Amino acid sequence: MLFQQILNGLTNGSLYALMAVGVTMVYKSLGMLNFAHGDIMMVGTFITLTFVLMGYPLYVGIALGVISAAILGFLLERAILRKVKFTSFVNLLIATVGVSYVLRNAAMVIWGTSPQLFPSMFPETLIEIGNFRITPQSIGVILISLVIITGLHFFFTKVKIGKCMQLANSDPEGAAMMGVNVTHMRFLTFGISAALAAIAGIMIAPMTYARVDMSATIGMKAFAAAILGGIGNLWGALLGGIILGIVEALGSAYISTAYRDAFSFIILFIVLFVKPTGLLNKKIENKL
Amino acid sequence: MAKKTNKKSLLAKIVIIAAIIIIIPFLTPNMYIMQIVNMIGIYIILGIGINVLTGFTGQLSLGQAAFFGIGAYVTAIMNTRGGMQFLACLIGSMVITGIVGAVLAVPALKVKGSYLALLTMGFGEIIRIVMINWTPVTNGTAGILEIESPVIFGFSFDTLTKFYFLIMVFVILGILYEDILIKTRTGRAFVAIREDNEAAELTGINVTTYKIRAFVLSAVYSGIAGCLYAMMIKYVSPDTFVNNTSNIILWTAIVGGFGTVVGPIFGGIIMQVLPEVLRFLGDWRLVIYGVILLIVILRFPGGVYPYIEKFIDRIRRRKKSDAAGGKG
Amino acid sequence: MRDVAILELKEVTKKFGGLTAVDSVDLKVGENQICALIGPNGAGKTTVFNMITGAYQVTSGDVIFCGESICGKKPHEIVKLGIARTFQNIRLFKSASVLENVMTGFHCKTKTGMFNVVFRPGMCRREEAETRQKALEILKFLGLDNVKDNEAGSIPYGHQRLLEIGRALATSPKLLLLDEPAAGMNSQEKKELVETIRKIRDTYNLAVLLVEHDMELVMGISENITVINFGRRIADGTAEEIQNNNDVIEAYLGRSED
Repeated sequence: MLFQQILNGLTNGSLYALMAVGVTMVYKSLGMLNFAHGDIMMVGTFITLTFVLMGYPLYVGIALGVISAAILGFLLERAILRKVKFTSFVNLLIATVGVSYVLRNAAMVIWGTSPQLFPSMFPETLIEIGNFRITPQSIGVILISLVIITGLHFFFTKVKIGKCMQLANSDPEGAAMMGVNVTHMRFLTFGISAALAAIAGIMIAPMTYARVDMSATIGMKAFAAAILGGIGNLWGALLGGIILGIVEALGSAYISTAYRDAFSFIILFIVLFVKPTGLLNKKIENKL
Repeated sequence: MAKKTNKKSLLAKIVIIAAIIIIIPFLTPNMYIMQIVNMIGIYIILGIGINVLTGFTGQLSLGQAAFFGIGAYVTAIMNTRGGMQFLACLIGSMVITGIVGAVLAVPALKVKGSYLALLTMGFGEIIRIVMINWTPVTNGTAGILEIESPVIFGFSFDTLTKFYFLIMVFVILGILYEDILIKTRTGRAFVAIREDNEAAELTGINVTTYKIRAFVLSAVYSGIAGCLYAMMIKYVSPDTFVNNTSNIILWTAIVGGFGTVVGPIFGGIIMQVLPEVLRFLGDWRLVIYGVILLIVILRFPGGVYPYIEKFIDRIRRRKKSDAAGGKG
Repeated sequence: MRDVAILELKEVTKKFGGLTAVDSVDLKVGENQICALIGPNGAGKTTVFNMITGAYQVTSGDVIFCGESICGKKPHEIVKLGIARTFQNIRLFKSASVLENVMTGFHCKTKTGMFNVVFRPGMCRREEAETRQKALEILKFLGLDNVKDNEAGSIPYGHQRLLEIGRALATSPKLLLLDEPAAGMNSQEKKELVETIRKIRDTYNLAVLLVEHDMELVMGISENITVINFGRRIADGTAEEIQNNNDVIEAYLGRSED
C-alpha cells in the first residue's frame, strides 16, 4: 500500500516536474510565471487526441500535438508578451492570464467540457515483482521525464545553443554583446517550454482523461513544484515535482481524498512563508 | 469666488449622478437586465476593493473570489441557519472576510510579484475546495438555497429594483470612503508601498501593517459584495467563486482604471455588459470577450478611465477656448 | 562639540556569510555637525548607512542614537526616532506628485487612520491641511514649489535629488544621511548643493552625515571625515588631517583611477 502510493506519487511527481521545468525556463527569461502554461499543455493534449481520433497513429498525433504546442508558445511570446514587455509587470502577468482565459474558453467550444478517453502509449499488462504490481505506464512516465530533464541539463550546459539560451536569459545585455540573438533565444525558450508541457499533458491524460479543466489544477501544481524546488533551477523543478507528487499521494491516501488538490497549495504556502527562494536556491539579501 | 463655483459644480455633479441613478431602473425593460445592472453594482464594489490592494498598494491578487465567496457564504449561513437579517449578516460577512484577509496577509507579506499572484490564486483554490468539501457547514456542491431578501427596519428589498437602490447605496459609500481615504495619509502610504517598498519603509511607513490594512480593506469590500450577492441571488454554490471570477474581478479594476477610484465603475460596466452584447456570437462569445479584454490591456495599459478623463478634459478646454474666442 | 555625539557607531561589524563587509568601524557625528564617510568603491560605506537605518542587522557592535541603542529596531521606527536618508540611486515615489512625495514624508508625524476619516473628519481635514502647508514650506525652501504638481519621476534629475532631501526633511530628522548627493551633478549644481546642505543644517537644526565621491565637495563642507577601506576605518579627522594622512593617500593612490 505505502509502496504503491509512493510509486503513484513518483509518477505524478515526475509529470509535475516536467511541467515545472517549462515554468522555470520561462520564469528565467521573462522574470515571471506564465499563467497560460497549463492551458498550452491542455491544448497540446487535445490536438494530439484530435489527430488520433481522425485515425492517425498515436505517435504521429503526439508529434503533431507537441509541435502545435511549441508553435503556440512561440505565438504567445511573439504576438502578446513582446508587446507588453516594457509597460509593466502587472500588465504582463495579466496578459498571460488573459491568454489562459481565451485558450480555455476556445478549448471548451472546440472540444466540449466532458472528459474524454485518451490512448496510452504504454502496454496495459501489469508487471509483477513479488507482491508489488507496477504498471508499465508508471515506469514509462518516470523514465521519460528523467531522460528529458537530464537531456535538458546537458543541452543547457554542454550544447552551444543551450548555453546561449542560458546566457540570454540570465544576462541579456552581456549575451547580446557576445553576438547571441537574445530575441531568438527567448523565442526558443517559449517553444521548448510549451513542448515540454504538451509531452507532460499527453502522459497525464491517459490516467485522468483528457479534460479542458485539467489546465488550471495541473498548471498551478507546476508553479508550486517550480517554486518549491527553487525557481530557475532545473534540478529544483525535478525535486519540487517529486516532493509534491509524493505528498499528494500520501495525503490523499492517509488524510483525505477530498482535499487532494489542496495539499500542494498548502505546501506552497509553507514554502513561500519559510523559504521563498525554494529548497535549492540560496537566500538573497535585499540590496538597497 | 473660486470656492463658490467649486461648491456649485459639486452640487451640479451630485444632482447629475443622483438623476442617473434614479433614472436607470426606469430605463431597464425587464428583470433580466435589472439583474445585470445589479451585478454591475456588485462588481464595482469588488473592483474598488481589489483596487485598494492591487491598484494602490501594488499587491497583485488573483484570489479575490475567495473573499467574495466567504462573504456570500457567511451571509447565507447566518441567514438560513441563524435566521439573522441583513444588517447582522452584513456585519458578520465584513468581520469574517476582514479576519481572513489579515490571515492571508501574513504569508503574502513575504512575497511579491508572480509569487504573490500564485499565492493568492492558491488561496482562492483552497477556499473553493473547502466550500465543496466542508459539507456540514457549506452543504457541498449543492450550495445553500432559500436565502431571504434583505429587510432593514421592516422594509423588505424583495424586488430587483428595490435591491438596486440598496446596492447603489453601498457603491456610493464604497467609492466615497475610498476617495477620502486615498487622499489622506493612509492612501499616501499605500501608494508609497506600491512605488517603492524599501523607500516607503525608510520614509517612516510601517510597511507590514499597511500591507495588512490593504489586504483587510480589500477583503472587507469583497465581503460586502458577497453579502449583497447572496441576498440578491438567494443561492450560493462553489461554482460561482472559481478562479475565473477572481480574474474577472481583477480585470474589472484593470480595464476600468488601475489605481483610480472611479475606474472600476467603467470596468464593472464593460466586464458585465460585454458578454451580453456578444451573445450573438453563440458559443464563441467568451473567447471573443477574452480577446477584446486582451486588446484593451495591450492598448490601454492603465485602463480606460484615464483616457476618458483626458478626452473630457480636452473637450472642456476646447469649449473654454471657444467661449474665450467668442468674447474676444 | 564632539562630546555631544548624536550618533555613535561602536565597533560595528557586518558579515555576509563568510565575507566581512564592515569590520569594527567606529564613527561619531556631533550635534549640528556635517560629517562625511568616504572611501574607495566597495569600501562598505553604503553598508554602514544600511546598518544605521536598520535595513541591515548589525552582526556585532552597537549603534547609538541620542544616547539610545537602535540596533534591532525596524527601519520605520528608526525614522520616527529621527534618522532620515536619501539614496544613491534616487528612489522617489515616481508616479506620485512632487507635493505628495513630501507629504508622504510626514507620515510618522501625523495620525489620520482608516477609521477616523469617517468618525473624526474635522480632525483629519485639519491635519491634512497642516501637512500640505508644511510640505509646501519645505518645497519652497528647496525651490521646488513651482513643480509641486508634476509627477516626481518627470522632473529633472537635480530636482529629483533635492526632492528626495525634501521628503527626508519632512520626517523632521535630527540626523540626515545623504548617500552620494552630488552624483551626476555638474560643478555649478555641486556648488549650490553645498550651500543647500549648509542651509538645511542651519534652518532645520540637524546633523548631516554624507557619503560622497567628490573630494572637493567633501573637503569643502565636512567638519569631520571618516575614511574606510575594505570595511575598516583607516582615518578620522578634519579635512586637513585627512589630506595629509598617509594611509588615506595610499588607499586612494593605490587605485590608479583616483
